[in-house]
Amino acid sequence: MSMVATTTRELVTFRVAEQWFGVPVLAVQEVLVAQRVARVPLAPREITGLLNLRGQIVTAINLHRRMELGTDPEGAPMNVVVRDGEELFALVVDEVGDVVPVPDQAFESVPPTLDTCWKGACAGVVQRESDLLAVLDPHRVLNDSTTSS
Amino acid sequence: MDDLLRDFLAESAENLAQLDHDVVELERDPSNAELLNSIFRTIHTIKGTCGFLGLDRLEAISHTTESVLDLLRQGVLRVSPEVVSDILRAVDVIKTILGGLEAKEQEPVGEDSLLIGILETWLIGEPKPEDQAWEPGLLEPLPPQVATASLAAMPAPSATAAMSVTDAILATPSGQSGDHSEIAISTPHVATGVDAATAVAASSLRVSVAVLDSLMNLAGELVLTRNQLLELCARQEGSPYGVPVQQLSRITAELQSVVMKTRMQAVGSAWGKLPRLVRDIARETDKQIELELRGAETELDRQLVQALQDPLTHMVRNSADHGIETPAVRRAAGKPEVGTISLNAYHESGNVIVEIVDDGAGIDPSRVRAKAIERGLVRREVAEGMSDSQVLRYIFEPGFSTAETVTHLSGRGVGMDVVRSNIERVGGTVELHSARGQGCTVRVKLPLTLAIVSALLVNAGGEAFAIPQSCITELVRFGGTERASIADLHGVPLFRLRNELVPVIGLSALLSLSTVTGEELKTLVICHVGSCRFGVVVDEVVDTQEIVVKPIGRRVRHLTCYSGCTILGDGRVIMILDPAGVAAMGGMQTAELRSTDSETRAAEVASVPSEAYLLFDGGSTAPQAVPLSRVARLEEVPTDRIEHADGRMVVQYRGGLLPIVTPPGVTLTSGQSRSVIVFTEGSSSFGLAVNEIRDIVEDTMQLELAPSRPGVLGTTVVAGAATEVLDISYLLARSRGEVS
Repeated sequence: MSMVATTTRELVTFRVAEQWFGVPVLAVQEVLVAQRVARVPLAPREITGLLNLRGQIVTAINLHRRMELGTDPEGAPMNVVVRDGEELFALVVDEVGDVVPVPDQAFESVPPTLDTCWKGACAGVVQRESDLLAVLDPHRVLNDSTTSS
Repeated sequence: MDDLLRDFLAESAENLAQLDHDVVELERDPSNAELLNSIFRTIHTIKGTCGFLGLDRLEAISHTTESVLDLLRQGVLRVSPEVVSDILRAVDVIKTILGGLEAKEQEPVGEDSLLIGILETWLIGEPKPEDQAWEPGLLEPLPPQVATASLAAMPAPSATAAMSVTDAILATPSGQSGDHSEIAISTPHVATGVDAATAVAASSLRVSVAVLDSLMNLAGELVLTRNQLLELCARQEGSPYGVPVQQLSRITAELQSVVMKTRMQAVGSAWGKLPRLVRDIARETDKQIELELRGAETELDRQLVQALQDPLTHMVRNSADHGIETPAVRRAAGKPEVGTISLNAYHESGNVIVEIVDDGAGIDPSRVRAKAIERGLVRREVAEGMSDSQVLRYIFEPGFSTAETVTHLSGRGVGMDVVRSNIERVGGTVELHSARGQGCTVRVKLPLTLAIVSALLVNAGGEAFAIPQSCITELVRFGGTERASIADLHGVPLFRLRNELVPVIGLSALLSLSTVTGEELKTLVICHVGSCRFGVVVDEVVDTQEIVVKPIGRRVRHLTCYSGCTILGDGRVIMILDPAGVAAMGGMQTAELRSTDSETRAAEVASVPSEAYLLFDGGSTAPQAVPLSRVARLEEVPTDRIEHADGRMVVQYRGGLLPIVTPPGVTLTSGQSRSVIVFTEGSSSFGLAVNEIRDIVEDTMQLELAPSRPGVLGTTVVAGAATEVLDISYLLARSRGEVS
């Protein structure tokens, strides 16, 4: 193994509608198949509800709505469980892909022309052979939302 | 934060909580060497540690305080209220500095030279002109430095020894010899005390609350898993897993109860600050107040202990500032000069009761009544017909204070309503009793734990919800033909619950859920929050269950209609409704409903005391009445069956003897038959012999004329005739021969 002065970051990738996203693997606690979710009436529209993960309450966030990519996942959704501070959140997505290593220099900054909703949630962009991977900042996805009160 | 600093802060916080209490205790019991030693140790530890943490300000103040304490310990300085005040002031400064350290990790800027100067006057030995802190007998022949030196030279546990010397000096001011035999006796006592303290420290362990909370969560989770296993086993006849699963079930239950115990905290930790508070108020107001604390070891969930702290402080401050009178007033009233406030905590049928009792002046109902009228809480005519205990309930209204002067201690009227809402928020209740001139008792009732509540599970709009049982008064089924019982006022639904109109909130509409239409039966859950009642319409009542309350995430925490969520036995998550939030969202401004809307409020109040009365001809010139609710039965008894025995009238009745009394001022004349109204009070019954039962009427019974003879509560107008209302407790006493 050659000693190159570059570091790579590993991203968990997932798909919401037609868009692939990535979040740092260290932020992800686990990935769950579709869960029974308790609705929370009157909650912000991107909150799918609450689910029970071995006795812990997890707030599920509908990424379709959060990222303005439609309203609901088609078929059985997957849950990417991320920890933010003391709390657990589940990102409800259509499909979970591989964990991909991305060298630091491959990260490109968020284009300034992006709309505010995306600009607030994205930490960077990574070019892949066939598409662009939007790298999300989990903390900002969970908190800085235009649709919440 | 630096580990060393964090440990220091944690330890100091623990010690300081005890310190206030100890210092105040010392003032009362100046000869308690153990106490003095413990105070000295605490300050000494703080001083020692801050030396190598480089906390100069803290070191300076604690050093001077330690020196003063050392003189006290050696008996050179006598414990006096003045020196105790100065030490308490120093303790406050130390607390402030520690608070700053915790917040900013560095010492807050401040100037303590004034206080240090005051403390140093104790060291130099300048007796303050206004007090006699120095022992004249000791001071004159020996300069203090010499006294210190000679006393410090005594053998090891010199504190007790020195204190014994002080005692001796105190007893005989001229006797300086120091009783050596007493020293010899008290030394081993100290030794055993220290041993015991060490043993306690070794058998307990400091564990962070986060660990306990996660332990609690895991135990809860284990219970859920156990429930699923039990279900599986029950389905399979003769399963080989049956016995081990039973075993697992038993152990799980035991584990859960032990884990619950770890979260329990003695209620005493909520009242650690009170001795200091009472002492300060007493000194400031020139009163003498004794604070008695009983049942400090009574345990309840730590969350509840926290919830109890502020209300307790508030109520004790009220008692000390407004309740207890000055010594002169107390003497004039024939009471001991020293007023007593006692706190009493104990367990009672699954609840924790905390009573705050003072022997002060009590609350003047007439002032409360006047204030309630003035503030428009109630109409004058209604207020005047209310009993004293009904009137006292206004104490709990927002902004209500009868204090004539606002002191910085209390009397601003932000008070008992906050106490009540704080207590009710954690599922407790608070009651107040007051006797004019004899004092006031406040009784707080709390559940043992918040983590587990008894809840009603309901369905509305296709979703399941839990409602805490503590807020529910009753369930009413309605629908179909009974729909008529829901009245409509300008589009607002109201339910006729007996003689009261209760606002109705549709849960599914409130939460924007799909409403199930149709004429099927629905259930109205009657809830109460504070003094207001309302009904919540749900589609279906499922079950009652003990549920474990879990907090909800920050993204949904702003929704006031939920107090948390819970996981059911099958793993489902459901939301727990917060009745106060639901009421507020349903448009019930609780404060508004209570105070400003005086017209409806007064009308509501007026309808409450309305009661059914039994009217009869008792043989007096006017018709008479008693509350129907107190009447057990009505009987017809021929006069000849009324016998006279032991100077009293009795009838043989259901195998026993029923004492018979007549209305006050009426003697029994012979006739064919008598109507007897039978009353039952506790275990005893008696009959009231009257000529004729007339009628039952509903009335608010506002007494218009005061009574002129015993046994009559007063006179009022019923159906156009002046009617006497009889006093049943007087009649009962007469039936027992207690009054003639």
